[in-house]
Amino acid sequence: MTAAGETGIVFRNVSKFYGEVLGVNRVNLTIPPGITSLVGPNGSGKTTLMNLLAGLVRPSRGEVTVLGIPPEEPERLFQVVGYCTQFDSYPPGASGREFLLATLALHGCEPAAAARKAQAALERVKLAEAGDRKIAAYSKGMRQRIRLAQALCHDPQVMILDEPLNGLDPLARAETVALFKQLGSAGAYLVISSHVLHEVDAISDQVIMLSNGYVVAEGQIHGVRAEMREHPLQVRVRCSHPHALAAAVIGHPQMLDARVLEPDAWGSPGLQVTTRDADALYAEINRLMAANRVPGLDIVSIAPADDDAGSVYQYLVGEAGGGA
Amino acid sequence: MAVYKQTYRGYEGPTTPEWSRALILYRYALRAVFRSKLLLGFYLICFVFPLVDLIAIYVANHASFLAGLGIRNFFAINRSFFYSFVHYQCVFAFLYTAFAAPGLVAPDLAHGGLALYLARPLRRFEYLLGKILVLVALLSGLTRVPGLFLFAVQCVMGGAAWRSANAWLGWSIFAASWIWIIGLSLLALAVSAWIKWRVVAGAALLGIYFFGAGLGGAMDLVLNTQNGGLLDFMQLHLLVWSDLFRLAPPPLALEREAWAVLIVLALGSLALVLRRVRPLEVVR
Repeated sequence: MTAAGETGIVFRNVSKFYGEVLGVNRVNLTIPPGITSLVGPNGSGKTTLMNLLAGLVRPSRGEVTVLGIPPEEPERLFQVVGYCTQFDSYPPGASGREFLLATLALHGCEPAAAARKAQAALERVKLAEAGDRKIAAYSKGMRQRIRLAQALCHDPQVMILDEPLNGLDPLARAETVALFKQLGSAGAYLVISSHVLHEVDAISDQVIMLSNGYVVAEGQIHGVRAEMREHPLQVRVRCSHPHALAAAVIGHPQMLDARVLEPDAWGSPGLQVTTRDADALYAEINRLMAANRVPGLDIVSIAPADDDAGSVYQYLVGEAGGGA
Repeated sequence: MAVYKQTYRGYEGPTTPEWSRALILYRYALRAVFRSKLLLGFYLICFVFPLVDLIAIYVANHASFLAGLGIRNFFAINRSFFYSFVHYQCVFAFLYTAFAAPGLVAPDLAHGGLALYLARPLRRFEYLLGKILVLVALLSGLTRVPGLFLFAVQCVMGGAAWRSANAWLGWSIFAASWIWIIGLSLLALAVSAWIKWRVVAGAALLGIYFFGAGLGGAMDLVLNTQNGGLLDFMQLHLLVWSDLFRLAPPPLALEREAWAVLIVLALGSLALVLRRVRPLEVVR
């Protein structure tokens, strides 16, 4: 078995065409361990990329390897890959546990090991009590969790999860995100597609943004945002004297704009500064505070306003990405 | 920057042999078929005819019993008897297949289940093998096994003379059943793979049987030929079986043509199945 982290997940100049329809084009990627989110509007190539990764479709050009294993070797590949599709498909009449046992049997687990793993997977997705009920009687969220369980139950090193948070209630969502983070921080590879951009921010170690079959950005979201020099950064400062602070910072050569904000829910007024260099702004505010240039200034918080996945996505994909 | 502790370990324990994966699908699919009381009941009803034939063999081999009933000319247990058995039992097998087979592949296609199956250490070939094995097992239970059982009973009861004169009949029953099983299994899988709705797929399979027979009959009538039998799934087999059972050839010797049509039908069905059974359905 290939060790985790040996070669990562690699796409080398991969293109996939469905007849004359473009799936993805000239994709070069190396996906490291941790949580990687695929973001893009409908038809941008997210599912094609996942299917290429899972060996369910073959590239028209280029090659894909998962921990050094090509998709032409399903016996080896699927021992290290778990795939959670969007499809709601189960053996008729099966309970959650039976579904997992069948899945594990297909992965080559002996019955005793399969029983242990099925129980562990049910506990992981908080379905231990409902494990012996028929899947047909599950709620939408429970079905989503059993789908997730079948992708995780054989302890794969790579998990490909297509919209895994769909249909989950807030509590289940939080528990599932915690599970992803635990797996990601332990060194597993999680490739997740999601339309919920604030969740992408919350869970991802890195993002891959797609538009019309092309990878338009990849990496850690803050790094991607920092590279977008044509879009100056927005920094939101919650403070006691926003007008005075605006007057003090606007003269700095890196500052482009300052706008006073309405008080937030806690009654704290604020200022939104547009800058070419966020670090320069932070240094300037430190200098102002140290020199007491704005008497009585009390800073409550300073945070970037547009280096989240939603903003980056909006800048890169624009209005075309409205579907995501 | 994320820090990865690299503590995650994938499964590294022993696994079952690769060749056994198809058998897992077979086991689960067979269990699903017998979970239906309707299919189980139908399957059991299909054994009524072999039971009647078993009684007939017993009666035919007990002259004193027949004499007691005042019957002098009871039918003989010979090639025609076993030919008729295979013929009628295969009709039951076809009807049973029309109900059981659509549930094998159609639901997987309708609900995107193939992506789920083929995202496992399982190839398309193994998936199809697992599914076709279910039909082979079910149809063997209806045709080959009872046929050979009846033949074995007759061999015991008929005595050495009958045995030595008719030993070849065992092979005929075996071969005729296999031709039917393979052809029907492939045809049923093809129909199940192309028609996603179970009921419609079952109806289509019955349609192939009856429409082909009707069309063949109409063709014979209108064109005054006997080639219409080549459009009739059952008639095709009867033509081939008459050769296997060394029966008098039909008026127009179409055995070779029937063999050719059966082979084309089997290969065509296989091609249709392979074209359809893919992990993802690409709609252009």
